[in-house]
Order: sequence, then structure tokens, then C-alpha cells
Amino acid sequence: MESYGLFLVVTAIVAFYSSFMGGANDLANSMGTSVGSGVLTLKKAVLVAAIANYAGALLVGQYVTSTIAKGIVSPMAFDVGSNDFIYGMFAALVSTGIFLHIANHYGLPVSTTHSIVGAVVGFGLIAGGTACVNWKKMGFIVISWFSSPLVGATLAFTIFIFIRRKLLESKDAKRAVRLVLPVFVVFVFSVIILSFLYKGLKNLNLGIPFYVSVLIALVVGLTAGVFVRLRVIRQMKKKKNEYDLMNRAFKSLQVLSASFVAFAHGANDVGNGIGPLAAIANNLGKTHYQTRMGIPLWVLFLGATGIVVGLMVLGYRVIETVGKKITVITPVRGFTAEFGAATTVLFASLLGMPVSTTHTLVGAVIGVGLARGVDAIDMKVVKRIITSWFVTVPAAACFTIVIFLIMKTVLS
Amino acid sequence: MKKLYEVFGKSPFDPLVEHMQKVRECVDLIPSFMDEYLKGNYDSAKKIFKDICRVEHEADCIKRDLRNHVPKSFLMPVARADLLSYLKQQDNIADAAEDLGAICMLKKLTLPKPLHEPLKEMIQKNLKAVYLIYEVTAEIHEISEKGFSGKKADKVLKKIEKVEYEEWQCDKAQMSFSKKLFELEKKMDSTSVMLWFNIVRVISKLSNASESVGTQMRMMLAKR
Repeated sequence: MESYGLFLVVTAIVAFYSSFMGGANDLANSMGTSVGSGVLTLKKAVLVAAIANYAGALLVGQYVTSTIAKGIVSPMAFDVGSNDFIYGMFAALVSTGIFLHIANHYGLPVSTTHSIVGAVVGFGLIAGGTACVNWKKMGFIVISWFSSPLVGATLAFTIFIFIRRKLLESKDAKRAVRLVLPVFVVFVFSVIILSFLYKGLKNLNLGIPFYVSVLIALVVGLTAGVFVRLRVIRQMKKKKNEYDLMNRAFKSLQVLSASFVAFAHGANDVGNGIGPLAAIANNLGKTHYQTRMGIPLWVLFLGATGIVVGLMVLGYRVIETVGKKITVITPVRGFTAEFGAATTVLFASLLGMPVSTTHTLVGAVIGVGLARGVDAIDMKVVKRIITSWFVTVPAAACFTIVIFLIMKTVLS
Repeated sequence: MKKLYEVFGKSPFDPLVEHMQKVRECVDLIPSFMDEYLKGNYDSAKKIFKDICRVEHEADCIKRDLRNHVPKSFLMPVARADLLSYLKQQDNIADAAEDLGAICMLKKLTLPKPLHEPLKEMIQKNLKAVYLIYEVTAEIHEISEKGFSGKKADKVLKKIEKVEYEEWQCDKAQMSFSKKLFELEKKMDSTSVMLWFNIVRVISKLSNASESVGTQMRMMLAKR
């Protein structure tokens, strides 16, 4: 294999393109609820999404990327001389790009995450047989695909019931605004801060022990809570209506949850585009393969940039469309669905499990619907999504197998 | 995933409120219709009757549209059967208004002077029930916001109790009018007496249907 540099650059370009498509579709879907409820303007949504997405990818993105790069199909199962691993990863990347392009064209509800995982399994099977695929890991991944929408739904359901009973319909609304709201804010902030401090600063070589992250998270949470309580008390002195205050609080909270979703998207989906790139970058031109190397920062950065560029070039139109169509979402419901989904996706990311951010968000919306929070949810669409799960993985695998075989014949 | 918004279905509550507005429009025409009819201006009464029919038809179109857009695959805060039943009860009010005009158009009836005021009062009482239930439907978005329970639900239940009270008053008014009608039967031909008796029963349908709407809402409100 002669020009390693050229091959790496080509791979990087394809990875960038894959990330670009992710930013144009998936990330835009996540921000739609905030624009629909009127809490964020289109410009603000794009800005918030861009910053949060970068943070998510750079701070927490390496876990899922690792899984895709070496967790499902390990390079150790391959012979360096045959370059099968390199070709295979490249085939997985290219086939995913083509597969998503076609699915997009025909408007099919296909998940980028499912596609890349299916593609990697595909090349593993053709290049190394069933033995080289880590079926235990695949089992966990498939379980996470089913459980992430369910967990998202349960979280959103629980949070919504809580908000409605303890805040919106509490017998003593004044007390609810003064006490329950600040406590709730403490909880929300702590969860968010903890999620990106925990394991999150290793990339910047600022690894901190768990109890320190918890401490920092609680401190920030309490500060936010105190701030909210003081603000509420001052507004109530000015005789402001407590329901107005709650509504305004949730408008701000929804900005927070929207960023949280974008952050979680960065953490979980950046790997979809750059997983194979990382695998190739770490192992190209080496004499032995190894799995100890982490994900290089430049790879994470490339993926995150691809997503953000995709968001800014094409994604903003998707946000606009989604926002215009989803007019039924109030800030409280939007916040609940987003917070439930983001927490789930981030939790999965920290475990290195690649899940579909969009499908988890759908699960969270259904959770709110089950709590009687949405006028109408079309379960037929949900059925279509579930059906697509069973089709996507085999289809993506077959695509990859074909491309891999083409590559081997052409390059050998 | 194509687009996230596909998960959200068209809200059935918007057309429900629209339908109720048409029902109210229909019912609003009854006092002027009866005024003209009792005065003997059968041609102007007929014009107003045509209006009632037109508005009732518009309500039917909204009803049909709603039914076409609530598939079994929708997950809603209320059961599909409950929603459609609520719509049907609402529609019965408009149907009663149209039936009233239709019976009156069968024959150019006259009514003895002493019975004019009692009849108009009865109509007003029935309309009161309809307007009360109109308020209930108009607030369905808010009711849904609060999850069909809590303080809002309690307020709505109170309104429904008022509707039930008004319906009882309408029943009493119907009985007392019918008694007065039969007291004057020697002054009228028997066909007219029976037709007026029927007209009064149809007028009562307005408040009966309103009460049914209220009962349906009761079933949709959760008791936590």
C-alpha cells in the first residue's frame, strides 16, 4: 500500500461528508422542538446547537467512537498484510454514506447510528467471518437500541407528571414557584454538569475523580437554584403572576435542554462519521495492529466540524421545517422531552453505546404523550421506525459487503 | 428518520372547537326564526331556516373531516371513542335546531297569544344550556393542557353541573308549556296542538343534547 497519506485524506473527506449529513438531518431534528415552541429563533438554535455539539463531541465523543472503531470488530482479528481491516473500515464508511444518501432521497426513516453499526458488522462478516465480530458487544448495542427510546419515554413521562403535579397544578402555586422550582433547577443543572464532567475532561487531560465531578455539579446546581429562588422572590414582590413566572422559567429551561440535546448528539453521533476514520488513522501503515490508542483529538474535531458545517449549510432549513410543523409543543413539554432524551443518550454515550438520538427523542415525546401531554401522536410512524430497525442493519451490512468486495478486486 | 414532526398527528381538538362554533351559530338563529314564525312572516322565517340548514351542513363537514383524521393509530389524551362520542353529542344540538325549523315548515302554524312568551322563554332557557356547554368545549385545549384533571377539571365539572341544572329547568318549562297548550286545545285544531307539542319536545332536545355533551366530558375527566 503506497500512499498512506492520500488514503487517509480521502477517508477523512468521506468521514467529513458523513458527519455533514448527520448535522444536516439528525441534529436539526433535535433542535426543532425548541424552535417550534417559540423559545429559540432559528439563528439562536443554530448557534446553540453548534457550540453544544462541539462540546459534546470533544468532551464525551470518544467512547462511542471507540466502540465503532474497535469495539464491534477488533483490528486484532485481522492480518496486517492483507489490509482487510483498513479496506473494510473504509468500505463501511463509504457504504454508509451512500446508503444514507439513498434513504434520504426516498424519505425513509433510517438511523445513521444503525447504518454505521450494520456496515461495520457487514465488513467484519465478509472479511473475517463470524469469529471476528464481538457478538457480546453487539448484543449490548442492540439492547441499547430497544431500551434507549423506552428509557427516554419513562424519564420524560416521570418528569412531566412531576412538573404537572408539583408545579403547574400544585394547590399552593406560590409555594411551588418559590420552593419546588428552585429545587427542580438544582436537579436539572446538576445532572447536566455532571454528565459532561464525569469522564468528560480526560481529553483535555483534566481527568478528575468522580466525587469531585459530583461536588462541582452540585455546587453549580445549587448556585443556579439559589439564583432562581432569589429571582422568583423578587418578581413575586412585584406582584407578578406565579404561572407567568413558571412559564418564563420553562422557556429558559428549554434553551438549556435544547443545548443538552445538541451536546448529547455530539457525544453519541460524532462516532457515526469518524469511527472508521479513527480506526484507519490509528492503524494505517502500522506493522502490528493495536487497540490501546485512544481517539485522536483531530479526528473528533473533524467530525464535530463536519456536523456543524452540515447544520449551518443544510440543517437550518430542516430546523425551520420541523419548527413550523411542530407548533403543539409548549416550553414545558419541549423541555421534558428534550431533557429525558438527552439524559438517556448521554448516559448511553458514557457507556460507549451508539444509540439513535432521533429515535430516543421520539420515545421521549411518546412518554409525554402517555402522560396526556400531547394532543395526538401517530403510532403508525412509530411502527415504521421500529420496522426500519430490522431492515437497516442487514441492508447496511449487505451494502458494505458489496463495496468491500469491489475494493478488494480493484486494489489487489 | 425523515422528520421528527411526523410523529405528531393533527390535533383533533381544533376541529372540535370549530364544530362547536358552528353549532352555536346554528342555535343563535333560533330566536329570530321563532319571532318571524310567530308573527306570521313565514317567508322571512323560511329564509332563516335556510340559514340554519346551511350552518348545520357546515358543521357536518367539520364533523366528517374530524372523523377522517382521527385514525386508530393515534395516541391521544382522551380515548378515540370518547372523543367521537363527544363530537356526536355536540352535533345532536345542531341537528335539533334544524329539526325544529323543519317541523315548523311543515305547516303554517299559529299559536295563541298567551303562549308566545312562555315559548320564547323556553327557547331562551334551552339556549342558556347550549351556551354553557359551548364554554366547556371552547376550553378543551386548556383542559388538555392541565391533563384533564386538577383545578381546571373541577371548574369544568361545576359548569357541567350548571348545565344539568339548566336542563332540569328546561324540562320543567317544557311540562308547564305543554300543560298550558292542552288547556287551550279547544281554541286550536288538533293537528296544530300535536305539532306544537312536538316542536316543544324538539326544543328540549337542545338542552338534553347539551347535557349529554357534559356527561361525555365528565367521562373524559380523570379523577386522581
